[in-house]
Amino acid sequence: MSLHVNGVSKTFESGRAKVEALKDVDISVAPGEFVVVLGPSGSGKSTLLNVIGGLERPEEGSVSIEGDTISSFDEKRLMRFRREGVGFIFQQYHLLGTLNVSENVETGAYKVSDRYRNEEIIERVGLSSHARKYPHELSGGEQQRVSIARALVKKPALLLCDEPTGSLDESTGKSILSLLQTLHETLSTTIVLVTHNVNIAGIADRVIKMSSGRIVEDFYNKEKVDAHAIRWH
Amino acid sequence: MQSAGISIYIKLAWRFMKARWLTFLLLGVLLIFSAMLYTSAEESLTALEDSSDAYFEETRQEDFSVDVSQALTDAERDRVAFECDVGASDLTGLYLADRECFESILEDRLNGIESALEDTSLEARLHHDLSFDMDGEQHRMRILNDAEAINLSYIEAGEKPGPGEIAILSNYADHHDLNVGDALLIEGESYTISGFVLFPDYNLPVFDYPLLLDTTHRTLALLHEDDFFNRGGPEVYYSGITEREEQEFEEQLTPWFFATNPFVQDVTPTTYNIRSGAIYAEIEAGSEAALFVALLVGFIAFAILLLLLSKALKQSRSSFGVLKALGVPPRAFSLPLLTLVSLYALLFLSVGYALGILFAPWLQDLFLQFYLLPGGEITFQPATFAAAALLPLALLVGLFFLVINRMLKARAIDMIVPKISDFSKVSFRFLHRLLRRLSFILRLQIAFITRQMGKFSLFLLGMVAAAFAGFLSLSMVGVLDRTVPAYYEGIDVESKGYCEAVCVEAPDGEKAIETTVRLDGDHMELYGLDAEQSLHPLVDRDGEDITDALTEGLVISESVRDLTGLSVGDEVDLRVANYTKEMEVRAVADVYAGNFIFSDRVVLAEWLFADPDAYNVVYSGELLDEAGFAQVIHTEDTLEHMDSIHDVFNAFLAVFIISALIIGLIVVYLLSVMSVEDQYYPLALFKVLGYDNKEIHRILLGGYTKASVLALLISIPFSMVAFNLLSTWFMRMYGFAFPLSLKAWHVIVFAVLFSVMAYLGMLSAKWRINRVKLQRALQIYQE
Repeated sequence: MSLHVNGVSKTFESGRAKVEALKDVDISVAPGEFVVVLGPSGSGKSTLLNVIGGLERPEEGSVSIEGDTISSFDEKRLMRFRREGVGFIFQQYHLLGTLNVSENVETGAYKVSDRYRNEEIIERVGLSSHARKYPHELSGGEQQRVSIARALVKKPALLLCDEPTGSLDESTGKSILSLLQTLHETLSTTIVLVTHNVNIAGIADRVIKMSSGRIVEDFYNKEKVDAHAIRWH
Repeated sequence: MQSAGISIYIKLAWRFMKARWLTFLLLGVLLIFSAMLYTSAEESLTALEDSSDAYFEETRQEDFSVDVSQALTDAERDRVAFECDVGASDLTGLYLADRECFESILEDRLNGIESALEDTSLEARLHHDLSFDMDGEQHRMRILNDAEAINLSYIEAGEKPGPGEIAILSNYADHHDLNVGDALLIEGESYTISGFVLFPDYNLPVFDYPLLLDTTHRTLALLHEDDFFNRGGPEVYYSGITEREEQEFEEQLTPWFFATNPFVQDVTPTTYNIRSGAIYAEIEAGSEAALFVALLVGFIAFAILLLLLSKALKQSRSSFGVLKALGVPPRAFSLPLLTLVSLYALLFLSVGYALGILFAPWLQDLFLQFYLLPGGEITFQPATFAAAALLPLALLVGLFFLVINRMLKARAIDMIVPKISDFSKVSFRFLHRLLRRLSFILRLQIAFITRQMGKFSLFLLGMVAAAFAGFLSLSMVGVLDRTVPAYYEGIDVESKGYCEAVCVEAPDGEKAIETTVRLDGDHMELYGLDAEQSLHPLVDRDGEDITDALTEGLVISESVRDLTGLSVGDEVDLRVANYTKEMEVRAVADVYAGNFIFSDRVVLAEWLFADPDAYNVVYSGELLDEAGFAQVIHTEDTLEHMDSIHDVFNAFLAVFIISALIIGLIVVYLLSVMSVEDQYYPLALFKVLGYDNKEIHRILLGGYTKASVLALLISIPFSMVAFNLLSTWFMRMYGFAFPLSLKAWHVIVFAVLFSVMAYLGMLSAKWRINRVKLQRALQIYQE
């Protein structure tokens, strides 16, 4: 899956002030790439992720995925794109407390024909014995694994991760990153992960650094490391 | 630091309320209703009770009354023949022949009782009943003698009548614009109105059948002694005062009266006497009903208010956690919200109280349309204000503290860290296997409902209560038309001609017997009808003709069934005076006009008159001439009288119907809004995951929509059972039929209103949710 972000700008209004979250951003991501977008709080990385995922519309520029310009999709088509083409992982997991693990995963593949079976993807994230448990019965790391399974069950071409380890301790965080690495290698899914943690950049194929809504650095990682080997702080 | 925190939380509380202005406004309306209903009933009834107690004491209201036979006993007949040389067979005849002898007989009857019962005193209550025309309509009047020791006359305005004068009821005078000094023409004689009078033994203007409570067409009156006795032979009963307790009286004295005094037909303690004692039960039942309704409405309002507050607190959980971690005491942020909400609630409760005070005189007047009592002054009662406004407020504050203290007991760090909502440990996992084959959306709908049983139960309960309130209000439309008017519409009797004792040479018509009878201590109207008669058919609830059942035994009205719980096949003992007869109930007639028992006329004639051809009433399909009868009652007049009574009742019912409907619909709206708001987070998540609005609404709201339909369906049989119980309760409490029943149109009309309000509620909440962007919604929820 190829991703092209061309000249994208996005402005938010905060009271009377206008905040330029993205300024003329250009990115191209090759199929199967694992990209980490790095930047401090307010750098525009989450906004970029939302624009790529079709949650926000850019004011200028375009976003194309596999040749389709999603930024010009109507709401209905955009919704279908989010349902079938892209998986989301959030910092806060965003699981539904009233659904068990298997049901939470099921919500990620509604009306998707080419998908993994629930049992298969739950096994891949290491939660086979927890399939009937509810979110409040799981640890933070386990909840994030459910969130990953939910995002991947539909076999998305693109996986978008917004600070997926932001709420986790070092050990759990590393195991989640390791899982993402494994899934990336075995499923060949294109992954865009945004984080403020510089050390996480070590696991990616490519690192894009952002500051004040602009891309300030974009480079390929020559020495990729295993998630368990990175320094956390 | 602390004052800054308070100021922030005042702003937060204000914003919270402002964002939900419609919800809070509707809650305010519920609070107003609650306080208003309680205050108006409590104030009006307390004032009425106080003034009545004073009035009854001042006028020495009877403790019991003794109905006596107007016919002379064999011994009396012998005595008047021997001592007075008069051949009279009844009191009226004796009075016309020899007034002194008449008074001597009354005195003897009274002395016989008083000498045996030292702690009991009696006084003969004499009265004349008459009919007269006014403005082309038939009016009825009962003229009572001016009592000396028991049931003293009470002059509300003006003076007691002198010769040629009359005192009447002020209610009756008001209806006809009559004032003191005006002339009143009665049976060709003109009387000047000297004043307005009340009698303590007639709190209801009931003095003959049918039991009309109509002061438009009937009045009590007081005449000067000379005028009273010049009107001819009066009818008599005795009023009594006793030192005995009611239970002792019932168990010991009543049997003694029947056994020892052959002229006694009935003995009724005041409490059970509809003309004088109904007010006690009504005031008590009125207070209880008002308290119940006010509590119900108040409970719904407070439950919703507490849910809202609890939700607000939960949404601010992490903010509270931060402040707590910084050392700010919990009260710094709980107090502002509580203060603001309490002030708001107090404002609306006070408005409700003020409106209640405003409506109390109106409600009291409504009672005084029927109850012949001096009105009481409505004054500010601190206890009522405390119960209507302060008590609910204290309850709210207390519960709020319980909720907030429970939440704030958690460690600061636990409050800051987002918490995934858990649910009841009650396991619904067994459902999982059963539901596997259902569609994904349906399974999710069921999951959202069954795993939030607390919220769902509240929702279901609230919706059932709202639907019940709606059905109740609609079923009251025209409820009174199902009583006396429906009865008369079902029969072809245009006139009833009543004879003195028995009819001898009555004009053409169908023979019938009407008398009062006691059944297990309750007074009933006993009708003797011929099975082959045509003017008074009997039909059951299904419309089947059951007139033939008269040949097999008794037919009771629905009112009697409600009152006594009797059913077909039961054996009952009917008692007239000291004579009893056992008969079997064979059918139940669809009649709510009163406590009617129908029997074969021939059977009654043999029992009561020892003559199978005897009868005391003539039914006619045409208007009977009054000549030849002691009294003629035309159906048309009865229905006209009922109309004027119904006008007053209907005004009261209209207020109740509209109130219940508004309350029901407000509850539907509020619960719908809250149910949708509870789905705020999943709604946003599903949007992010690419579900369209239609699918999201099906998943999240479909379950609640189905639950609403379920609530509506549950409320139908629930309402039917409850209406039956209410009708029975009404009958047993008040002695009046209030035949509530649920019709198909009630369900259809309310289902439409219910759906519209639920839809508007959901629409309103969805509109507010849709204004928030997806990502922001997700962030806000778990911040």
